[in-house]
This record gives sequence, structure tokens and C-alpha cells, in this order.
Amino acid sequence: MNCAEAAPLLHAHFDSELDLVSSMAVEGHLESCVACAGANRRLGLLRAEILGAGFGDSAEPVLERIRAVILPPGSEPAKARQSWWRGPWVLVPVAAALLFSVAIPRWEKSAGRDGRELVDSHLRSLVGEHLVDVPSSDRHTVKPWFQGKVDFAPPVPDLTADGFELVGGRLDVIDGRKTPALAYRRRNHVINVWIVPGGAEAVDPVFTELDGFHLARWSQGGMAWTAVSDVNAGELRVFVEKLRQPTAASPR
Amino acid sequence: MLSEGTSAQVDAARARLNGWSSDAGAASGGSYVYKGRNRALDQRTDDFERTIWPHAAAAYSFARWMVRNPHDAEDIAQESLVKALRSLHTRCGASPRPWLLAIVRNTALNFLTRGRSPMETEWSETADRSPDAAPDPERGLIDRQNRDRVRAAIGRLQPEFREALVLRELEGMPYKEIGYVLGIPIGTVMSRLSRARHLLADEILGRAEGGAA
Repeated sequence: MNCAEAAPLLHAHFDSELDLVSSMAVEGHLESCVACAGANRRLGLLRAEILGAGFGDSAEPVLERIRAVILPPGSEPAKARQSWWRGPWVLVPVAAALLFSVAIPRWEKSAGRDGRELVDSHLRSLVGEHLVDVPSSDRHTVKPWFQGKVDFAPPVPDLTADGFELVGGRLDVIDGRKTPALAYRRRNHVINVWIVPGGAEAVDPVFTELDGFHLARWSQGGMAWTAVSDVNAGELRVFVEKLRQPTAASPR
Repeated sequence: MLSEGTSAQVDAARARLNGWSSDAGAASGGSYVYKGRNRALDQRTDDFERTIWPHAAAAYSFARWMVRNPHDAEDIAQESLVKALRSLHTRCGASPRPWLLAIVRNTALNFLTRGRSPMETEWSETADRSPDAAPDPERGLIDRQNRDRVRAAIGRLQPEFREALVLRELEGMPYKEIGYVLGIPIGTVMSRLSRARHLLADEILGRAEGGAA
């Protein structure tokens, strides 16, 4: 493959849109051609710049407002019942309650909720080099990275001001399901946080201990959160508290 | 215990008391229809929440890049999500995210052709006024200046280049889905994307030696 053949394929190759054979041909060319390799690197630099160029504000308040308008409050327990809820509509919360009673135990059982799988995952993240897939202390880099990898947008709180540095994000497989993980650092300790949709009802944190690791689980904003770390229980409590503050997910 | 039929009648009576019977009557008449309609509504809301709502953030973000003003973007995202909920039955197997973003795009284009806030205007000055103080002020400032610079450069791209770029780089969409959202063939997606990247790279990374990239 020469430059004239490779040039039209560079973008498609960069975007992982090529079939295996063409992709290998382009890679072969990139190894031997300085100009095309430079062009390819430029695409990477450009992408990094674009990913860092978010609007600097959080979409969450907007989404909450929209949600309140279009989805029945039954799916969000924090909202009070509204006056137009009459007649057959009262059946909706009943249905929702039934749904919760089925969904919550299921959610608790799934996603390695006994903690063992999460502690193992935590340990795996510490050995070897795979603490993060996207190393960045900028939530505006980490958050978009999850797009297209999982079918929801995990919140990425920034706790730098509270002494918990965001190290980056990573994709774990928990219970056979792709699960976004965030890694934070407190001095030399790593705190891993996993976020999955579920537990529509807000649940206060429950702290447990397993093999000397501290675990915290809670649920808020339609997401089920779990944090695992070897920091002491007190510090994990502070971390969880900071994480749960509504300001944590908003821009800083 | 009420039989199925009796409970349907009770529901219908309750519905009539609450002024719902005309609705049900319009649909095709009779108590059974009302009950079916209600169940269908719940089902649709469930479907919507499960399949479409997870992409609400993408809808807002895409709208944000199309109209720049956060308030307009919020209106567009909301209008699009309402449309999506209403026309969920027309999705017919299309992937949820491209389907929703195609709605967002149409809504935004309608909004723009109504003459308010044309796409070519400069970015709203208030767009990034939200409390954004980084913990390290100096680093925060540099980060922020760079972010503003890149965002402004993206904003200066022509709309057809910008939308392709945003869908690829910020939404991480495959070409096929971008083509679906924009209603163009994949070859056109590729040429727009390539053009958009050339323009943007020249602006924010400087001109490439030999005109590559």
C-alpha cells in the first residue's frame, strides 16, 4: 500500500471502520511511512482536544428538569404526587412499587453485590497496569470516554477540591455486564467506584468490610453506586459523603 | 375477587367519572378500550425510559452543539424527547441513540429556520458562565482557555461539518449511525468528517507539514 492508497483510508482506519484486511494494510503502511504516521497521530491529537472541549457545565440539572416534565413522577420517588393524578393514574405508583420490589432485590443480587466480585475487581485494578483505560483528572475527558461503551452516561464527580484526585475511568466486566469504573486517589490509596443504572429509589450508603477492604453502596439519581478501597472507614465515609453531594457532579 | 370483566367495567366507570371517557370514546369506544389504552401508555413509558431516556444526555449535548445557547438547547432536547415518547412506535428497530438524535436534529433545524438564534451567530457569551472554578486556579485557567479555544473553533465550522464531527468525536458514533442521523450516505459522512477534521486541525493544531492529515 502506498500513500495515495492509504490517504483516503486514514480516517476510516482511525475510526475503526475498516475491515480487517484493509485495516492491516493501513497499519503496515503507517509503520513504514513517516508522513502518514504523522497524519494519523494528528487525528489522535485532534480527538483529544475535542474531547476536552466540553461546555464546562453539567447536563444533569437540565435532564432532571426535562424528566420531571415528561416522565411520570412514579418513576422518581423524590417528586411529590401532582394534582392531576386522579382515577386510574393512582395505579401507576402501585405498579412502580411492585416494580421496585422486584427490581431492587434483583439489582442487589446482581452486579456482584455480595462485594466479592467488586473487591476482586478492585485488586485486579491495582496489580498490573490496568487501573484506568482513560487516564485523566478532567471529568470532561473521562465522561465522554464512556459514551458508546456503555448504554448510559455515568456521572463523573470531581472531588479534587476535597482531596480525592480523579485518576481516570475504566471499563470493568462485573457479573457479565460492562460496568464503568472511576478511580480516585487519596494519598497512596486508590478508591474504585462503580456505577450502574438501577435502584431508582435513593438508598443511603451501607458500609461493609471484606478482607480488610471497605465497601460502600448506595443509590441515588437512578444509579447504584459502589465504592471499594483500602482507605480507612472514616475516610471512605467522607469520600462517599462528598460524592453524594449534588455539587460533586456539577462543574468546578 | 372481581372477575376480569367486572374490573374492566369498574375502571371504565372510574375513567368516565374522571372525564376520560371522551378520550376513550374517540379511540374507538367502550370500556375495554380505555383499559387497553392505559396499559399501552404505561408500557410505552416503560419502553421509553428503558430504551430512549438513557440517551437524553446525548440529545441535550447534541442540541447544545447545534444551537449553542444552553436554554434553546434545553428546549430542543425537551421537545425532542416528548416527540420521541409520542412516536416511539415508529422506531421500528432503529437503534435508539441515532433515532433520538435524528429527532433532535430535525427539531433543532426547525427551530433554527424559525429565525431565532441562527447557527452562524457567535457562541452565546453566557454559555460557559456556570461556576467553573478549578481547584488550581492557574491550571484551571489554562485548561479553560484551551477548552474555549477548541470549542470556538468547532463552533466556527459550517453546520454540516460540525454535526458530523460532533457525532463522531463526542458521541463516538459509527459512520452508519451518523449517516442515519444526518440522512446522508456513508461516503458523504466520510468526506464531511475528513473536511471537518482538516479545517479544525489546521486551526487548533496549526497547519500540518506537507498538508497531511
